[in-house]
This record gives sequence, C-alpha cells and structure tokens, in this order.
Amino acid sequence: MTGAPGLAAGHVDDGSRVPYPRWRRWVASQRRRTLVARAAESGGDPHDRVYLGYGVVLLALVYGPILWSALAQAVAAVPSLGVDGGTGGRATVLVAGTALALGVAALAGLAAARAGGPLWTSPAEAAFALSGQFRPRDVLRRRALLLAAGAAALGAFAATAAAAGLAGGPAAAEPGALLVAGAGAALLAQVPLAVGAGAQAPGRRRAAVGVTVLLLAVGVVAALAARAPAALEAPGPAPTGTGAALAGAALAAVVGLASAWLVVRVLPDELDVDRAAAGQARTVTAGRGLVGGDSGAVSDVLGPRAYAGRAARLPARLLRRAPLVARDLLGQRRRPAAAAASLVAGIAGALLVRVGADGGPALATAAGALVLYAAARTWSGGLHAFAAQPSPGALLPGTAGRAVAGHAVVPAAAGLLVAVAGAAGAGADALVAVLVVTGLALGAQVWVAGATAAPPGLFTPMMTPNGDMSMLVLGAWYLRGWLVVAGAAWVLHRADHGAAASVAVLVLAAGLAAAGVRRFARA
Amino acid sequence: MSGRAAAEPLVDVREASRTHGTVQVLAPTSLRLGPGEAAAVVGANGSGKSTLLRLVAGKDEPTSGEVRVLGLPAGRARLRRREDVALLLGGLSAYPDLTVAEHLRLVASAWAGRHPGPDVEAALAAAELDRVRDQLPGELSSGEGQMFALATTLYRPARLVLLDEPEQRLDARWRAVARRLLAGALDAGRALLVATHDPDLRADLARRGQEVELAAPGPQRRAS
Repeated sequence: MTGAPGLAAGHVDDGSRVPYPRWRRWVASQRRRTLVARAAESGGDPHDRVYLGYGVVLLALVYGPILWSALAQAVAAVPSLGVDGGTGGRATVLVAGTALALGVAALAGLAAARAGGPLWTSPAEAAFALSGQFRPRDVLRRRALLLAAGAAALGAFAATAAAAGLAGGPAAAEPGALLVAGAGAALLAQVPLAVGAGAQAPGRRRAAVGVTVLLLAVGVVAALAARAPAALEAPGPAPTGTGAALAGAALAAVVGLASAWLVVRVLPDELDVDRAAAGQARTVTAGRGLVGGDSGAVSDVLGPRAYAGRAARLPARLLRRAPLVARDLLGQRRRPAAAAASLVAGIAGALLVRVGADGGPALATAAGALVLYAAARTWSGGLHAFAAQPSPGALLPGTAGRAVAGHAVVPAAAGLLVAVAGAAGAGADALVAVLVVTGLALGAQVWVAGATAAPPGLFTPMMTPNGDMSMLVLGAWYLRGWLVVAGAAWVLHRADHGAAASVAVLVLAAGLAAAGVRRFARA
Repeated sequence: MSGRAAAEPLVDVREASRTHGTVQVLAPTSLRLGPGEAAAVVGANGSGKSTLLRLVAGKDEPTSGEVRVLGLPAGRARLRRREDVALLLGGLSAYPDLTVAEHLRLVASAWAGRHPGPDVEAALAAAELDRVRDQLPGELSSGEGQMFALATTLYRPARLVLLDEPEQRLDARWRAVARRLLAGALDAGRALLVATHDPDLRADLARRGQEVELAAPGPQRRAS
C-alpha cells in the first residue's frame, strides 16, 4: 500500500496527518466531558484546574510586584554594576550578564531534559498519541506555545527588574528602556527553552550542550573584560553607538524567534518520546519521595548516571594501600566530564571567594562558597554512594569513622587543589579565606551525606498566623547544606575574614563533619 | 580464645518479641547458634522472619526478652563487633560506579591480611558471575543482582552471616549455586542465620543446624 485509501498515489499530504482534522472539535469536546466525568467519579473536583489557575494569578498579582521591586533593588545594590565605566563598560556588563544568565538558564534546561522536561509527555501520551499515529508537534503544540509564553514572561520579568536596578532603582527607570529590555529578554528567553527541548531530542543533545558551554564561555570572557579597567575606560569607536544597539536588538530578535520556532515547530517531532515519558514518571515519583522526606530522590529526578570512563580500572598499588581512595579516584575517572566540570567550577568558586576577601562584596564570598559546595558534591561522590548504602560500609572493615575518613581523602585533595589554583598569586589573607571556605564546603558535604531522610518531627504541623509552616521547614532541611554554607560565608565576610571568624568557621566545619560521622555510625 | 568465649554462642535469643503499637510482629522466640551452625528461619509472610533478623543485627530492639550477639547485647554488638557480622537484609551495600569484579577486589584489598580467600576470579566462578564480572550493579538483571549481593556478602570475612531470603529472584539453577555457597560458608566455620521460603535451602540448613518456625499471627514458635 502506498497511500491512504481514497487517495491516489503521490497525493498523500503529510501536512494533513493531524489528529482527527474534520472532527477535532467534536472529539475534543467528548474528551473534555469524559475527563470531567472521570474526575467527578474519582471524588475530585472538575473545577480544580480553574481554582489552581485562579490561585496562581492571585499569587502573581500580590507577590509579583514585591518580588520585582526586591530584584531591582538587589541589582541596584551591587556596586560593580553601576553606570561607571562609560557606555563601553555598560555594554560589556550587559553582554556578560545576559550571556551568563542565559547560560545558567540553559544549564537548567539541560537538567530539565534529564527530568522529562521542558516538553514533558505523560506515559499515556507516549503510548497512544505520540507512538506514530499523530505528529508530535500537533499533539504538543499547545504545550510548546505555553512554554514559550511562560519563558517570555519570566525573561521579561527578570530583565525589566534588572534594567530598573541598573538605572538606579524602580523609581529612576524609564518606561521606554524597560519596554525594550522586557521585549529583548522575552525573545532571548526562548534560547534556554530551545536548549532544554533540544536536549530532549537525541540528534540535538550535543548541540544543546555546545550552546550552553558557548553562552557560559562568552559570559565569563565578557565578565573578565568588564573587570579589566582598560575595557571599561576605553571609549571604543564603534560598538557603543546606536548602530551597535540596533544590531544587538536585531540579533536578539532573530535568535529568539528562531528558538521559538524550533520549540514549537521542529523539536517536538524529534523528541525522544519514551525517554521524556520515563523522565516525567521518574520526576513524579521523586517528587513524592521529596514530599515524604527522602532527599536522595533529587538524584532520581536526574535519572541514571552515565559512566563514560568504563575503561578505567582500580589502581592496583593504591588499592593495596588505601582501598577507598583508589575506589573514589576510579569513581572520578568513570565520570570524567563531571569531574572536570567540578574542578573548573571549584576554581571559579575559589576565585569568587578571593574577590570577596580582597575587598569585594559579600555576595562574591557567599556565591563562591555555594559554587565550591556544589563542586564538592561531585568530589565526594564516593562518600554519598557510601551514605546511600542500606548498611553503610557493611562490606568493609573498621568503624564508620574510618570509612568516612577514607572517602574524605579525594574530596579534600580536590578542594586543596582548587583552593590553591583559585588563590594563586593572591595574598595570605585571601588564601586563608579560600581554604577556610573550602573546608566549610567539605564539612557540610559530610554533614548532609550523613542523613538522607528527613526526621519525622519535621512533618508535625507548625501552625502560624500565616498557615502551616511544616513544608517550609522541610524545604529548609533539604537546603540545609546550602543555607549553612551561604550563611557562614556571609558571616565570615562581615567579620572581614578575621582570624577569630576563620577559626569559628573551621570549628563549624569540623562539627558538621563530626555530626555526619555520628549519623553514619548509627545507621 | 578463653574457654568462656569458646562456650558462648554467637547468637543467643531468649524469648525475644517485638510489638509495633498493638500488633505483635514477632512472637516470643528463642534461638542459640554456635560457630559453624546454621538456622533456617521459616514461616508465612508476616510471621516475623525479617524482624528476628533485624533484632539479631541490632537494627531494632526487642519489646521483651533479650538478644545477645557475640556476647554483647545486639545493639552494642552492631557498633563494636561489626567486623564479625556480615548481613544481607535490605540489599547489598554496593557502589554504583564499581563493577562486580571490582567490588570483590575492593573487599579483598580492604580486608587484606584477614581475608581467607579465595581470590576474586575463583569467587566469581563459584558464584557463576564470570559473565557479568565487568558490569555495574545497575546493569545486572534482578537475579544476577541477587546472586552478586549474596556472593559479595559471603566474600567478606565474618563469623556470623545474616541473610534475609537469599533465594529471592533466583531461578532453580542459581538457587542450587546459592545453596552451594552457603554450604561452603558453613564448612569455613561461619554461623548462618537465614530467613527463607525455599524448601531445599531450608532442608540443607536444617541438616547443618536447626529450623526456627515462626507462626503468624501466633503466640509461640515451634522449634525442631
């Protein structure tokens, strides 16, 4: 058979292969009625979605302006983002900020692709609607359009707040400038969305990663250029004029529209539907686990890890002398990309802490500490694998403390390496600050690894005038490592990186590690 | 070793019971196990087999009665004598980025000087895991994973081995292999406490020691 019944060969119009073209409205109405009837039968309220939408809009109207003002004031409070440096300097800062923001958002898009998004599909859709009967782009059109609109709204929200902050505060911002910033960001926000959707398509995954790396690289280079006095002071003949601004706007428009077209028209047809459905199902399960207090569920969201370095073997000599160190080294070699990225991120974190210690803002110290903490998660992969075991260390001799010490060697060595690399050429004070914050990050990793299930007491309702706060406390428990590291780094900066504060932070790090070891011993 | 220590059983359970709320999940049960002896814990689902193993492992406290392991209350033995007790209760304590053979190599190296052998290749051959020696735990079939867990648990040195239904997900051929591995552990002088539903394994273990039959719901066990 070469064509559809009733059509002559060669007259098959692929464009007409859409779900029920003539009866679409009738089918859709029947489907809606069935869904409402099923929801009513199962005890649910068919109007739940309406209430949900009402709640979301209400929250956005109440808290949106507050968040927008807070964001604008936060940007205005960062001294290095002021208008100093002339038009050329502002342009460099703008490029750096935009590229870094898009790069970070693209990273989130890549993570979302592993979790089944951003173009999510349910298992039922994978089985019945997307298995070849219909074109995925027709089934997913509304979802893709919604995503594009949502990304545009988020981008415009953040960009207008940032623009207002750069202008010196919400009151000082010109409506025209805000409009331009919002429109540009709405278009550029399609880029990370396209990166995420591209990572869901087997043939585009590599390109998606490439775009992300490119954005981050451009952002870092532009940020370094913005910090260089020569770049800020040099007036620059051409790139600062109206022509350059128009060229930038045109580029943003072209890139944004192309990205939106990819998301809505191209990428859905190339989607790995089964993988997306499996990711979505995994995310739902992991979400239930998180609500139930299982912090390990976060790693389940990102799916099974890929071990690229399968050819690597246990180093025989080291295995005889220090088995767990050999094991952890092999673990790093089995994930070479993650290991390399974590070292780069660690050095970047150390650089930020150094900037903070050299008289920079507290934000730099806190952000550097958080980046170091995130990088230390990869270095301490062996420790976290140990923690996830049903009976940690059941196959090994010695106490839990000895096993934790064995697993701490590789993270400590990696931390020392990035601290020294990040503080190379800096003064003794900056070096000490970087080492202290690195130690804090490592201690917090041991502490967090010691407990993967939330204490049952956290689920006890905590009634306040604002309602039940137990879920907020549970969220804080999940983020305890991040909160402690950021808080301690901020305090260290406020204390001007003094000796007493440094010793206090080191004592805190040791206490956190000891608490983690005690939990391992009890497990 | 002193005469007292030699005479003392590795496991001594005296009328131990466990109650969760108002539900008795383990009726009062007694059991003594010496070196080289086996005990098959049998009974219907819900009779308390896993609970008894958790009490002996020191992961839970009895509501009444007493559980001593290696001369200490089980809870303290879990902390102080963990090198003498191997257990397979809730899955293997494996690393996701090490292959099957690398796990055995890690165990052999970590216990260097105290590991009685055999070498890794012989252990893999005995467990018929040669084919999957270079696979990661997450890449194994459920049966292969169970055999890997059993073989690795028995590969680490221990005087007492606690196993919760080691025959799970194993086909007839691999159940025979599992029985052979357990017989080898008994021959090496280890004590085995095994909860099982497999009649052949139950018979094998009973021949080398005793059978502890738990009834659910029921007030008492029948020991043979």
